[in-house]
Amino acid sequence: MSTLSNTHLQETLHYCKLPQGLEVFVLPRPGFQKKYAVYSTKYGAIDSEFVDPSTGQRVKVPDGIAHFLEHKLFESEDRPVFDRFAELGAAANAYTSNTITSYLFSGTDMFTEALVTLLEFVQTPYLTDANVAKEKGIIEQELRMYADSPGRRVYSNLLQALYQKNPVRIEVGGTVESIYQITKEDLLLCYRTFYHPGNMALFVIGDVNPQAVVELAAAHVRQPENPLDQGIERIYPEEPDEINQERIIEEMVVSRPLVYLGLKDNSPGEGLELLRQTVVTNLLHKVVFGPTSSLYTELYEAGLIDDGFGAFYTAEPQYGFTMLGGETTDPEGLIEKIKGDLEDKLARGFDHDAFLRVKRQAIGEFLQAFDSLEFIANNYIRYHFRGTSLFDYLSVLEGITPEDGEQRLKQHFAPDNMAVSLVLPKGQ
Amino acid sequence: MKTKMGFVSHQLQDGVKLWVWPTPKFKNVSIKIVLHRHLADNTAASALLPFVNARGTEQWGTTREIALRMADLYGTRHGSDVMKIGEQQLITTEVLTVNPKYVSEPGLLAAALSMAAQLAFYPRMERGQFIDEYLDQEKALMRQRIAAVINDKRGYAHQRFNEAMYATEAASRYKYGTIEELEVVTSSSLTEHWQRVRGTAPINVFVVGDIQADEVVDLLLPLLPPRTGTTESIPPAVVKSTVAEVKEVIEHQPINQAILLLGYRTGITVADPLYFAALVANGILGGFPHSKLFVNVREKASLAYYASSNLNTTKGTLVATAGIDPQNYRRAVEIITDQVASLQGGEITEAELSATKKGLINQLKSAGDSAGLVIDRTVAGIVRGKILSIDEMVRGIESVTKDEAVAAAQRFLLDTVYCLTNQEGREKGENINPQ
Repeated sequence: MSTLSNTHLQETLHYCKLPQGLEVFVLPRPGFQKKYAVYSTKYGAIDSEFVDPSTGQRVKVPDGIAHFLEHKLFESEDRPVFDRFAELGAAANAYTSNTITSYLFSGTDMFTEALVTLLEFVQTPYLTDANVAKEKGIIEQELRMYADSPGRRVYSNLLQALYQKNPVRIEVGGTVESIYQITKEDLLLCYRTFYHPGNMALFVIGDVNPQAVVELAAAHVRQPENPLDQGIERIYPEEPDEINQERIIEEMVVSRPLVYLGLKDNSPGEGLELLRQTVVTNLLHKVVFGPTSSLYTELYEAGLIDDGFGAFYTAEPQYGFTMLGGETTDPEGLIEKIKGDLEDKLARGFDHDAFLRVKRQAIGEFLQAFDSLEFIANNYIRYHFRGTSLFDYLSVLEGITPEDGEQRLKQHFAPDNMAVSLVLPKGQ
Repeated sequence: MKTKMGFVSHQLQDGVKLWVWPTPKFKNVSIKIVLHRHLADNTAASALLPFVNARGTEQWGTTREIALRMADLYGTRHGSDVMKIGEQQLITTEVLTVNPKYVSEPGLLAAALSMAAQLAFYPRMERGQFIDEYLDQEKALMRQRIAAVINDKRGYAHQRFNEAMYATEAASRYKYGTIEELEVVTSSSLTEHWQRVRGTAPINVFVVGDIQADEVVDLLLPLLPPRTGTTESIPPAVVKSTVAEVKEVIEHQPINQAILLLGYRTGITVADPLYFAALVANGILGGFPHSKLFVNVREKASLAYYASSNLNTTKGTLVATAGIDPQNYRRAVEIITDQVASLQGGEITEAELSATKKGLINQLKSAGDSAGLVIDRTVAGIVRGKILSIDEMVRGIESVTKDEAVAAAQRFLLDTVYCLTNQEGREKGENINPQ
């Protein structure tokens, strides 16, 4: 077991790679009652095409299968998984993103039993034709709930406008049509392929003993039949640089329009490079669109935005994008103002002092997030699967210069890779 | 000086109380200033206050100056809003800053407290009144905010349900009031209202972090505005324990999923001997993934993705909810009312009782690891007139017997059934009264 101390964060992380291939991270938090564990596989909604390791054949499975599998792993032959956690007073949950599926629990007592339960149920799929069929109604209702959420629609539609082929354009949960095509065999194939200890990680945080956690994991993670030396062959379609469409509109029952602008990032990079891109892009968002910017003040005072306006950046090795926007009374006016301001910034740059100020702001905000056990565990895993470390965020941040910001501005904020998504009030 | 929930409390002035929790646990210092109002008293005007106050203060005159100052203070964050608990409207100002020791900035605590006081108490004024330009902009945004309820279908359904269930009670009101009330607010009427609120509303100030209580008192005292009269006493929320007849309200919108809400009167508040038993009964019914509603509505019948219930111990009510296919309206109502009936009939297994108690205790203990949750629990306790520490709550829940949980459930009386559905769901439920 190795340890990594971060003096700035005043945290010590313990790390061990088990012989089974699983990577285990433990961050002790003395004085906290809550313990939180997350057990994740590097497998998400975009991994719908891959090579079946047992046959060597390329396969493509229906959309929404990673999320479907997440639901199904809570099924068991004897006692329902939720009941097992409930007996231990622990709260279990799971979530699926484009790139990761995570299973988690938080609890204050009986931590050892709960951790064993977590490791066990994720390693013991129980799938029958009947219980797969039963889940379809539940997931259909989940998807219908999302379809009624204007915020979710404006986001999903924008991804469709930005991407021509990359599966990130499809909802993580798939569609009502695609989930009804999913079979027990499809689910088992995905499970065998991606739920391999060598493709997974465990992160535990709270008032725990790191050595004991590692020993427990070593005792309860099964030895895989084959090591994952070759990795998993995932197939992603070749995504053109160009966006799919400039504008996408949906009508819903809303009080006023929602507008999101998206910028496609065709080269987010990997590992440390990806982390740098993320850090510098987040700083740019603050300096150009944040509450300290002249643009934000102008838009707010003109009544074009409210405090729900914001920008965020997401990057994985396979895709990256900026999204910004919010609710507005005048979508065209807002789009025009934002584009005009970006053109101005591209031509004349930004104030370097303003950049240094938001850098200081970002340092404080990053430290603030470290009061949340969930934030640390979930994000550590996210960064780890991208080949980088959450603990490097601060040191990378401190090294960014205003010149780095200007270079990134020119590279990422080019007007020709921008799309707009609108949700408009029905019948207007 | 008293200690409760880790907090040391100090009466700073008549009606103004400081709650400090010095703890090395957190990397942040959390500050929250709360002014208490009755929800029905000038709702829209009070709701404007935190937003207009955050537009500019005596020291930091514009939104941008405030934002720049916050960035300079290492990304100190602030939020101003109103909350609704039972029949109180709470005007809140929150400031969250990183502990000075992580950024070697010794003046950070004083600066953050000063900023919180500026935002909460010292809005920028001209000629002794709120600035028209700020007020007009914030009125326009508030109009949008009130209209925007319709965008969040679950939030909208809850608001419409409140209007049906609490028709004649203050709890029917939206926390921001109505557009009609908003329109008549002027800078002179709002200024007059503000003077009264600032000088006479009960005020609670919370500070949590790795700090010294004495230092906070010394820093805060000079920042407080003067009291101008007797502190207002806010009447407790109306609590009803009987139902004359069950109301049914069906509303239509072009949506994909129907949202169903069933409201029950319990009459059980924090002062009731069955208070802890009601928490356990609600937990068994719909508080967890092992609960009756989740198991029967979702897992067994595949009718919904979510199905749960919530207890409101300020109003003495319980609300069960599920998102369903519009065609399954009657079946879902039947399953939910059947589950309540089975609880009332004593159908509780040892496993359900024990898991629910453990789950509630886990939630309570975990809440102690979040400064925000500890503050919010205390605020809710103040509103309800009884603050229970986490330890007292844990002991109370541990002692609940099956018979007590059943006795509490027997006081759940169906009052209102509300459904937001689409045209397919036009069929009316027939006799849905399970009593």
